[in-house]
Amino acid sequence: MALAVPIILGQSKVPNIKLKKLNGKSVMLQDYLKSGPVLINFWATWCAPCKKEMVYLDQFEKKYTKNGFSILAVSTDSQKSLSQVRSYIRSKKYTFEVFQDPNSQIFKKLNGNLMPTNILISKEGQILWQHYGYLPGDETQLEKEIRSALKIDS
Amino acid sequence: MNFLRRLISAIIIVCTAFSQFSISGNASIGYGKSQNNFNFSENSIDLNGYWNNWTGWLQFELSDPPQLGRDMKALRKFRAEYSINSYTFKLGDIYEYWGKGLVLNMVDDQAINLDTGIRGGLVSWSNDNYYYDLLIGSQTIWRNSNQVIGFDDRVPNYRIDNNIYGSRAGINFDKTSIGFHFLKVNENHPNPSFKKDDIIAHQLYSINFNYYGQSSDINFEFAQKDKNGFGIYADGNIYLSAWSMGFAYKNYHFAELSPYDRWDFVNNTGGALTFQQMPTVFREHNTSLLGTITHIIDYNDELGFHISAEGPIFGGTLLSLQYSQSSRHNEWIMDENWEWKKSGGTKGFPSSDPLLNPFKEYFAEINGYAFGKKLYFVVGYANTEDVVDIYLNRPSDSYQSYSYEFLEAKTIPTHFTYRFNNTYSIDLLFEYQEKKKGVNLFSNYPQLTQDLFTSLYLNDKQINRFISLGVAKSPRWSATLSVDYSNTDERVVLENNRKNNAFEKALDKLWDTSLTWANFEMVFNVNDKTRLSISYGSQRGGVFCSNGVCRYIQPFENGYNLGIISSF
Repeated sequence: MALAVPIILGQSKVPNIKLKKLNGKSVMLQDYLKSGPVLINFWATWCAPCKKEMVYLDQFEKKYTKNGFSILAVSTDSQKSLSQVRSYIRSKKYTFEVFQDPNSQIFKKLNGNLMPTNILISKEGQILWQHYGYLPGDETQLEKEIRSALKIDS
Repeated sequence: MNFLRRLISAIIIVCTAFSQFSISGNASIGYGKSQNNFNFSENSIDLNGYWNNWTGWLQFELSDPPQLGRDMKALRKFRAEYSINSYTFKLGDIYEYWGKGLVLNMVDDQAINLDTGIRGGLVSWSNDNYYYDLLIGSQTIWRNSNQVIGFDDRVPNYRIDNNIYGSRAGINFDKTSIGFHFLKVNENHPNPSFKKDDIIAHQLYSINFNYYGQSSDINFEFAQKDKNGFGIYADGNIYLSAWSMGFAYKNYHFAELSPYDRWDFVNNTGGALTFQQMPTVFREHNTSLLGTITHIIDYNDELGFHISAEGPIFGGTLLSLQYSQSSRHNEWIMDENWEWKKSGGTKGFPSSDPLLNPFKEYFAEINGYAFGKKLYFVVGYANTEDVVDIYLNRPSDSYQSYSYEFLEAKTIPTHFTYRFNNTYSIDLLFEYQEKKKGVNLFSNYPQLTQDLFTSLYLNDKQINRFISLGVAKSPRWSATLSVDYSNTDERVVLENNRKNNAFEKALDKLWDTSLTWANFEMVFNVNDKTRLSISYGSQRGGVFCSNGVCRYIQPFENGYNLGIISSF
């Protein structure tokens, strides 16, 4: 029993992974977690539900960034379509940070399986919420989870 | 008492150690059974563990058989990683990419059964300004080939083993970076004609440069393989406020193979290696009908470019305009012995001459929101021309005869999603395509004069329509009915005598459903981490492309499909 408890308590934590920005520079996830909870969103330019969801991600980024919240949008576009990522983000004027994962290694490390995958992580590195796919209306639940992570009353 | 004290101490130490240990994972189950025996059972579990600076990954697979690929009932993948300060050590199954992939781009794409990872070790060092990697390992790549006995669309039958070692080094400045890559490969290439293995040594080098500025970015890479093979890639964007103008260029010349040998990687060694997954330099489409006419890139012998302009036009609506063109480097002609010989060609830019396998595509799309974000829309248009194969090219001093297979298509993909409130929405995909596919034969030899087009379809043109209508209730479920139908097809499809399912029979009152494939799917989100999908019906077979690699997927006729994905 004593052994089981720490295993259970130790579950659902993310490692301090290295993320690569579009300009090739690397940053650590911990650098963002220092400020507050983080939502990692895995997406791709070929994924229609991902693009539908992004307008809401941008809204949440703008609304909650002052609370220390960050959205990290990790593109799993391969080398074939990676050059389109920056154009797309700029044309939509999205403000969240965008990273590249062309071989889906970070995607697999964080148990991504479908696109989009959203993972909400607390400041302590614990996974608070995880969700596969996007249906119109899912952003309501996503915002509830973000507010709960920020300890903001709904 | 001493024993008790030791026992408690051990428990505390183990508990403390384990409290730092985290395990998570995901599982996926896929099961399908159809009337035409496209049956599969494909299951996998991924486990990810983290402890201090260590991470570990295990992937178990139980597939008998999978949709594509070989049966597997074992530990499929594993890797241990350790990071400290500027160092990272990896041991196990490794997937790396260097530069833009002209030398190394390892992928694991099970949708098309492409796995080019290595099993070995990596040592990596990096700080803000410099990086250096050392890589060593071996890989086994399975491919499908009709040059070897046992050819099957689903199960690869030809195996290549590579031993790889290499290194890369690079410098990062403020806005620019330069990288150097070197790779040595010993390829064990079975030769079925001589029933022996050929061990072939390869050396690859590349240099890449990139610049990332506020209003522009450029990437460039040059790769050299062995004595004569080379590849050049460049892309760049200029940003004017929210608008971007982009270009990409490729010049891949790793082998020169005649139209007869072009896709025969068994009897023709050399050429681009499977882990050189380079940028395709054309738009890869993911809509149903456009996806079936994706240009199949020849990494050995293709040059081309892609230009684009993208930006907002009104109210957040985005306009995207793209043009792609490519061709081979050389024309191939047949001599008096009907043997292929290389003839003149083009140097830096693609040719429009049909005898150089030209490809051209214009693509335009608008997407955005309307009615206060209640309606999401995408409307596109594509005009595609592709010379797929050269069958004959026999010129003399005064006369010439040639024939080639080509494809021309005009496609209109559309997608609309309307949300009634924060819960219910409907989703409509409609795609229309007019496709011409056939063989052009030209001859001006005396008494053999002809200029003839022979369609591969029973009609001159194939008209395809794909409709998908779905309804969803967030966050719980969605239901989608998809219908894919054509007016005609190739003889081998028409002679198939397929049987209609209940949905297709219901549509029989509206049109002839002999070439209609209808499928109904329901998806349930059991909770935030678990998703269940069930479908019944038929799915049309054809070419499916991902990551620039295309596979033929056979039709799935009148069957059930069950899928579960869960993370823990």
